[in-house]
Amino acid sequence: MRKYLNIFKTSLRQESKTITNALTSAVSFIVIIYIFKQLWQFIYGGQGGGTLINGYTLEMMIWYMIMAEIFMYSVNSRGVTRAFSNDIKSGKIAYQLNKPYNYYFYQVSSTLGECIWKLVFLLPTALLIGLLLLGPIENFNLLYLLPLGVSLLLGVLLTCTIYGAVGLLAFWIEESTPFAWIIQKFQMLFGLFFPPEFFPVWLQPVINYSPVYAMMSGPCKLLANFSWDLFQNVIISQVIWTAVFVGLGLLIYKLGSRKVNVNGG
Amino acid sequence: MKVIEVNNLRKEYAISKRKVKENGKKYLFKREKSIKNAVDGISFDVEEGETLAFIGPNGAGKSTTIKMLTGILFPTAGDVKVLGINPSKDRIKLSYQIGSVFGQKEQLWVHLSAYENFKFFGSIYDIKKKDLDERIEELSTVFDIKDFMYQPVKSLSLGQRMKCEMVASLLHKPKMMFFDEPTIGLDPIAKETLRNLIKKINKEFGTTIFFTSHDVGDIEEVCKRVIIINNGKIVLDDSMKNLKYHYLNKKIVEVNLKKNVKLEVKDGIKVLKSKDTVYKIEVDMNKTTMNELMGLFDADDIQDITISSTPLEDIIKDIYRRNDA
Amino acid sequence: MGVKSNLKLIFSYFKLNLKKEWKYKSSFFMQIIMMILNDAFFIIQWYIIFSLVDNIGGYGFNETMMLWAISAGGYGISHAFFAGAWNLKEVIYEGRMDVFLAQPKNVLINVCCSSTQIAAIGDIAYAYIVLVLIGAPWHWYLIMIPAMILAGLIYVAVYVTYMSLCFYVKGGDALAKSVEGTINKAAQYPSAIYSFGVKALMFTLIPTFFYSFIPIQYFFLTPNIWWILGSVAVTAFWIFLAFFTFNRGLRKYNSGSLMGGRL
Repeated sequence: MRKYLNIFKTSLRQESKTITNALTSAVSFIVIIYIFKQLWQFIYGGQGGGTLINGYTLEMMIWYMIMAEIFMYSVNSRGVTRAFSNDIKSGKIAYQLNKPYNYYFYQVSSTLGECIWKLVFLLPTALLIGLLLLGPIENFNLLYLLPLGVSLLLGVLLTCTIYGAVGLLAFWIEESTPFAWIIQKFQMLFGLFFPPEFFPVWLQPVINYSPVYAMMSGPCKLLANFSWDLFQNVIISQVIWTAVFVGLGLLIYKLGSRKVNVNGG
Repeated sequence: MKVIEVNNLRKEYAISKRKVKENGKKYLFKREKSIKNAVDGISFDVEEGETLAFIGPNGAGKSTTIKMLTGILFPTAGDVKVLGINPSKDRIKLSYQIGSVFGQKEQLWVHLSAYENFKFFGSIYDIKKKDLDERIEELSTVFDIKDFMYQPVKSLSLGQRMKCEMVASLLHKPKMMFFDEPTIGLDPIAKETLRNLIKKINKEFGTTIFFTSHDVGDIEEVCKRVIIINNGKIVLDDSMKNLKYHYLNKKIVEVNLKKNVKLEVKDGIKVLKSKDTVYKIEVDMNKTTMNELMGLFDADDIQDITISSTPLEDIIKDIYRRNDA
Repeated sequence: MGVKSNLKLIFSYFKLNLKKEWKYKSSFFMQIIMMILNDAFFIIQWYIIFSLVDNIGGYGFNETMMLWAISAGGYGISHAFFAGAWNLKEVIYEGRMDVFLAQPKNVLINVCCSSTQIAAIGDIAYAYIVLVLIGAPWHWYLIMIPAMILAGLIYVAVYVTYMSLCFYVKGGDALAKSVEGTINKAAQYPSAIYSFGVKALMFTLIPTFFYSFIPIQYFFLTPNIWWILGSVAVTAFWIFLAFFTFNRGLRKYNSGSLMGGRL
């Protein structure tokens, strides 16, 4: 009986968790965007009104950050890392190896599913707060929604594979979440707080060719100031980096699972 | 001296559920409220030094009652006095004088040693350092835990842990001990250890014991008085002796004879099973005697005979059932 | 139930928790260091912002760092000594209050002090690292102690007050978490950026100002005894509110009995 009680309790907790979590994260999203807007309004010297800093108007800055926060909120970096490392740490991985699917892809799709589920709550919230605080984006065409959506999904997928790869390090190290934490800090600094143009000139190409561009600044710039040229750049960067990290994840998984077999005798 | 006085105690829970539509689906926001009487007007007294078992099936209201007695839950109505104190009004004052052990809710910090735990509980109960040291010395001798009380609790066996748990709850010299399903989820050996510990507490320190359980074995071994509760109401309040006397009036006799015999039909004697020369017979001692039964056989024919009582468990099930009907 | 007895309780819990965590020394230090790095990371953000503007409503780099110091310190105090408050949801919904209710101590204090977050020590340390970093005068090191404690107390008190909603409804933690998150984030930015309505909210329902701005301004930058006394009074009021709502809610506590009971 206790088994079923546990299942019941878990599902109950799960249900109430999703509702309260969605609610609290929506509030938190709104608060942080409001703060960003107030802060940058001050930096832009009051009303904004066409002032440019490093080529960005106030409105572009905040739309950029709205997109960046969508990435931050949809992919809980430490959560993804933990999802990938839990089965390895608990030893459950041994039972997954002989299943009729590739464990790595199974794990990627399941975390991706969770992240995308969050977008269902996040996107309307983001759109609402953006329109309320800033009004419609200048020169925006509804046609852009499609390429933006593609870029958003690719970005989420890439982010999942990056933090997933970190999680797979659990084959060799005890605790991999600190690494996820450090990577997340880089993601925030170079992708969330400032567009690449705000950094020293020598650093900008480094950012633009790094995964941060593909997972954050690229798609964020697309929302702030769409152009088909930019879209091309971003998609190329995203496809390449996703391929690299999926390949890396598969490789780590292969090397690591061999270790499981050896340990198992 | 009465240590517990309970008068017409009630506790109700309001349960709100999503209202169900006619097609069986649930409304998103419409809710229905219903009231459940977990404890429905019970009254009883407990004398100092008693060992009392409070038993009943799941959801009967045992835990709710014990939690109202210890000040954990607020009663909806009725009066409670424990050691002359109203638990919901003077919870803190009461808690200095009672101890409680809740099954599956360990109070010890498992990463620390039992001794470190005792020191901590000493400060929770404001026990002076000298008194605490003396008390730990005394209890660790009585419960024989000196060998392992400096090891982390998580490295101890279940039985050892239980002893430490018990010592921790006795540090402040409680006049009363409450046990809420203490044996739940334990294996038979651990159960036995625990029962012996509880008996020991009653004997060594004269502590009044209040005990809830749905395990009949607990009660049979530990307690002198039984209260049976079902659906929030007391259905029986009697001494263990009386319970056995009144309800243990049926004996089961199993005989193996040398040859087949035809048994005479008699009031109070019922053949439950017969196979070849083996008979299983139920004898109602209120209607007949063992002698009468023995008269039915030739003593020389009996190869083997066992006489047993109906298990207490069956009796209690019977009492529940009668109450439900 | 004197103050002394409760202070003793707070420190014996803290000592016990430290002892527990100390058994895993590498994790102990790892948690503290990671937290210091976490706080220090945001220095870069502000360095870049203050290369774009001189000041934000009179707050330059040093003053903004002080905002970080006091909010990290307050958060540190709350999570080092009262981290149990952040378990309240489980304690209420899963019937884990029983143990605390059986002990002869104030339930709220008992629950709040029962747990310690080791990383919080890193936050407290960070408050002092900032003082060193900005070359603060020596007496600021002393003033930091009461300022930090006051900030920590109001932070816990506000959280507990809103968390008491859990006694009445399922998912009652959403409001408390939102308020806490808002205070935590908003406190790290200079107050000049907020509009009048929001400022009013930050004085009342979401008392962010008493958590960071008022301590910075009136304990450190321009000391003012009336503001100090005022913020002590407001903190005391929130503590009173926390006890009041919690004790009220406690009557509704059902010890997990509605979950279907133990089978």
